Amino acid sequence: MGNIIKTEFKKLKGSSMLWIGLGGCFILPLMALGINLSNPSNFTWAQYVQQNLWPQIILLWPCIFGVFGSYIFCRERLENTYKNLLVIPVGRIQLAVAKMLVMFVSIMAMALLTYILNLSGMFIGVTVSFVEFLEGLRVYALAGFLMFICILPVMLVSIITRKGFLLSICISIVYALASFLASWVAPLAALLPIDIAWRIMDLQQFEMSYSFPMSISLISLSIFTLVSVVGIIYVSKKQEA
Amino acid sequence: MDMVLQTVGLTKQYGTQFAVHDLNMNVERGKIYGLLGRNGAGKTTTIRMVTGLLQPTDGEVFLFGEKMRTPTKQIFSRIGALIESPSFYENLTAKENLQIVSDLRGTQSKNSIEEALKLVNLDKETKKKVKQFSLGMKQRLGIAMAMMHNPEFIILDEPTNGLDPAGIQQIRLLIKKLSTENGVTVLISSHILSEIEQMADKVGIIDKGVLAEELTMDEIRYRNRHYVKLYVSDMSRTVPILEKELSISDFEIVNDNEVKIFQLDGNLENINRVLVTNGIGVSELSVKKGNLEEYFLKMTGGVSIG
Repeated sequence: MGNIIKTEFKKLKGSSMLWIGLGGCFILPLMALGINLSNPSNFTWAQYVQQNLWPQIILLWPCIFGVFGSYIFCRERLENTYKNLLVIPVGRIQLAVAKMLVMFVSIMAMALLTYILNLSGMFIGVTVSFVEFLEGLRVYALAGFLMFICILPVMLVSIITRKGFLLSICISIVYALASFLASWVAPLAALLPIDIAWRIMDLQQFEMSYSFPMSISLISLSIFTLVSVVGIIYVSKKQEA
Repeated sequence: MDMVLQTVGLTKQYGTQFAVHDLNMNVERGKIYGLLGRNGAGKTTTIRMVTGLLQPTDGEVFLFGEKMRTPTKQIFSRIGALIESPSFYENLTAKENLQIVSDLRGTQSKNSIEEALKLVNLDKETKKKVKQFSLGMKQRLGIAMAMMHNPEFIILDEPTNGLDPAGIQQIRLLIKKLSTENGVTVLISSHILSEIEQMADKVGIIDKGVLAEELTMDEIRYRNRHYVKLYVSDMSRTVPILEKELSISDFEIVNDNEVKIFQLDGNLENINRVLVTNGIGVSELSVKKGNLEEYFLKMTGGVSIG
């Protein structure tokens, strides 16, 4: 399994999707910097990072990570390299699990890179202590982890449809927008993964109402996760090369 | 005979259509087996089932004497394969692509990648990404990937596609060298007759998913040897004359007027004189060379000979 994971990372070298993912990490911190340079406010570090985090979670990260994750999962079929792996042989389930791990590590790395880029806020007078930095790091790490879970249904749909990146981009955008709009609908806000992530993060930017208690939200998220993981493994095993 | 690959009743069905039907193939150790068939005959489907990429609807595959249920490292470490068009990670170089396969196999020597690239003349293309490769270069890289780990059995699905004549010759010589000097068993599929004819020890002709014929190249050449084509007015009287008066036994009746005589030690003038003397009209008497292409077309057109 270690070799499979190592080679999955090697495959990302120089790929355009990796650059897109990394580029996505820069977008909001730089935008926030630009906006605040023209309209300075007094922020604490916690306020500054939360201000940058909520659009990441609700819109930007589902799109970027959805496409990036689809690339990791679907490229073997799109580039027709799956057969090369299967005749080695590399186990289909092992490969699917390795890809999920690589996706997780990549998303966490990008989330933490985005967090570190928030340090550009120092140019507009935002100050941060070591303790505050660590707390913010914890928040972004949790956000990255929750984003990974939220993206899993998109991965499952991408693998089932086998239609390439364009469909993944569409699914990711629709998924993100639907979640954003659902945040104003109390029952859906308590049941849809991205809105549940928002709820867990307890971000203060918007007041959302939820029809069901947190326990129901967590159960819903667990079901989405379980179905997605089992589905990804099952489809990977059954699909013909 | 030691068989590296045997298929028994191998079948792949899609709905009511058979892509491959009841295929019984036998690949001997150390030999080059040519799987010959038109485009869409079922060659690649067969190879995909043999390599575990496709689940058969029915039948069995035996590799190195063991029934193959799912691909295992124990068996597949002894096999190298190039299936359909060669595919790689286009954002990586040739060496990086081979390194990935090497890492996944976990068994290569340090020099195996360099040696494989040198063998296919790609050792100088160190900086180029695969997306900049021509089709021929990708084909050669695919062959390098199949051979890199010194397998006992190599499966090559139309390996000369996209190669220029020099490249085709190079691959042909390489395959023959692997077989004769290293004892490697090779299964090579192609729709190009001349390629199979120059390489294979044994040929399986596949048509519409069925293995129409499986025989050695010597047998094929024997069936397509020189012959005398004779066109006569009365076949029923010609045959006894050929057998009794001319002592010719090696012949084949094609139809009511045409006969092929494979026994070429007879004098053509004598054959003509004896037949005419006996009142048989001879409208054609000529020496023909056996044509492998005609043989193949007959096999795949549903008309059997001999």
